[in-house]
Amino acid sequence: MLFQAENICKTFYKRNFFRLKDAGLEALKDIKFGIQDRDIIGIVGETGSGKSTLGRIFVGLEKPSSGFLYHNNSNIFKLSKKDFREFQKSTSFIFQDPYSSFNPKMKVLDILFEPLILGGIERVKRKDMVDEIIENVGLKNDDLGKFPYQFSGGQRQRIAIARSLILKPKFLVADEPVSSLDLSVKAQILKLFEEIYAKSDLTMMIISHDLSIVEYLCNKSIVLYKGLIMEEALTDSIFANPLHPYTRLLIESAPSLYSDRAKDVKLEAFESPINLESAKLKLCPFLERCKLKLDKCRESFPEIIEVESNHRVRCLRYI
Amino acid sequence: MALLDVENLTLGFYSEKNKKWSKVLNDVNFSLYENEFLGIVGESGSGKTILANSILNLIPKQGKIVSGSILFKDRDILKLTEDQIRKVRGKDIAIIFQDPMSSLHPLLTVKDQIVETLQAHRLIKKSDAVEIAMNLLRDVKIDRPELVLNKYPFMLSGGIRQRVMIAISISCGPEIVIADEPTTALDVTVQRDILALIKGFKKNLNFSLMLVSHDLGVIWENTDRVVVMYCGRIMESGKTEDVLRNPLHPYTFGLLSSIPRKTGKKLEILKGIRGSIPSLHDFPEHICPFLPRCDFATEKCNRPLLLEQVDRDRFVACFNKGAFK
Repeated sequence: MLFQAENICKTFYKRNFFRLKDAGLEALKDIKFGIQDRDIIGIVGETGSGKSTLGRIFVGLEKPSSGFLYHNNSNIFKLSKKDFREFQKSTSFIFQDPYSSFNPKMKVLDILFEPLILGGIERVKRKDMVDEIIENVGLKNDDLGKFPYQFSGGQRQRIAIARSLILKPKFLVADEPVSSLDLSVKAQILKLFEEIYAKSDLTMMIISHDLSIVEYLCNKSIVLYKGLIMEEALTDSIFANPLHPYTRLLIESAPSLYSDRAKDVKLEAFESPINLESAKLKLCPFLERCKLKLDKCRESFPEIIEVESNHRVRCLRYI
Repeated sequence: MALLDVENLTLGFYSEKNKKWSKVLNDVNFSLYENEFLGIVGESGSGKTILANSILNLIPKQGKIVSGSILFKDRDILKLTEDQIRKVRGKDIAIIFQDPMSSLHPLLTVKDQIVETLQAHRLIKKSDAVEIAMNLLRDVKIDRPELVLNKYPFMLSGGIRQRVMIAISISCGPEIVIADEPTTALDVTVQRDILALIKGFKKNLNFSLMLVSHDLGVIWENTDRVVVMYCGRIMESGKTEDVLRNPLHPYTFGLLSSIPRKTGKKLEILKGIRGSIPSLHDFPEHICPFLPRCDFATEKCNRPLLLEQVDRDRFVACFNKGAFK
């Protein structure tokens, strides 16, 4: 097991006038799963489901409020400063927006040099490493002298990928890596991810709201809803046989080019703007939107259980 | 009969830096028929949004109509005075913008904004307008409209904001509704509800809808006819089934093959398109704009492009139609 997350919770607090903690927002609740070497794990969920926070915790950018994250059997938040640096060197992060994640005053060469300098790579080796990586991500040598604004979105995402892979990390988190790109460019970048994975010994975590990307790239998937893992399984079995009503809703809702056009979508009243009973009582967070709810859903909180081998789901229907 | 006729529309943008005019829209021709669901599809920078906005004559300052006309009920929208166009905007032709946060007024409550539109186009008392506003919110399936009415846009979720936008757009019984990427910023589940809502209104209120989107799945599931744009030009247009199932233009073909598709058990990206869309001032003007990225180009492509009719209601701008088959 490369990573093992144990009961990770993350609560963000607003501070009031006296800088004291006010009501908290529980971004992640009781997250528990493992990542094996060479996995590509997909995190799916809607806005606000906590998927970005989860990704940030896995590279050490954010500290969980409680719980542990083991990397090669050592809790990364208990590491010494030196070991934590080593850990961070072996992980990397690709941000969603290729427009705001670069310093606009730095040339591409400097952008790619920065991690090398911080990583303590000898001066003589640096240029060779840059040359190697830009070839791998499909950039040209002339591009090194340009500034980020001179590139299109797809090219910038290539630079971002080059920057995150230049130190040859073992683990890469990509937070919505293609959501701001055009269709044709999106396909190119997805193919690039595949190539890179095949060429290196990376383990990846792909965070996306787009199910087709996760289905395309990942071998394991996790569905998050309001900070809880709703379903976790191999990608093939999640998409072939979604168990949780929420996963089913997500898969049904995604517009598809190959769907039956005649199908009529039934309209539901929208979630009411005022707060919901499930938040106050400890119930399944999906209760109000669930079409398949049972009587017992109003009584107890579902725990995540293993329904089939390697297929875990948080739903009272399966208990 | 066509409700809206866009004829030979060419729109130029002046760039201060390059000291030249570039064509954002280049000889665009299409019609919108009564009670029709028309899709406009293309990548960013292809001119979809500017086309949608120019139908309401909402052209930015640096832009200028070079030629062409937009005929709505035998009147050229581009020749109307500001006062005349104001009577058309919101009443006869309504628009739903992409981002409801920046298109709703942040300092006015939902009630004020709906009432404002109603009173601008109809002679009614404020109290009646509020009553209508309440019903409109109920129509867009908002639970407890009385609570939403007095809220400011920032207090609402993305889905509810977009519902409010839709309520405003249908408030005066428009004949054409233009929806410019109405669901791009929303989650898939919310997107599905919003699209179903718009479709439902179209059935009851009988307006024509122009849906601008980059998502081919959305276009496929919702539209009757589709126009494919690239670099400010129409590349292909026709019935949605024909265009998306039997594309004739290499660009449409490329877009379709960029989408992961199930072949057997595994999702695969078949081909895709190389390169990316050029920026506005680098649009090739006298040759096919898709030429630099096209895998099926031949020598005969090196001449000015023409949109040709190949079938009833089917237009393609390519010299090698269907060459990829």
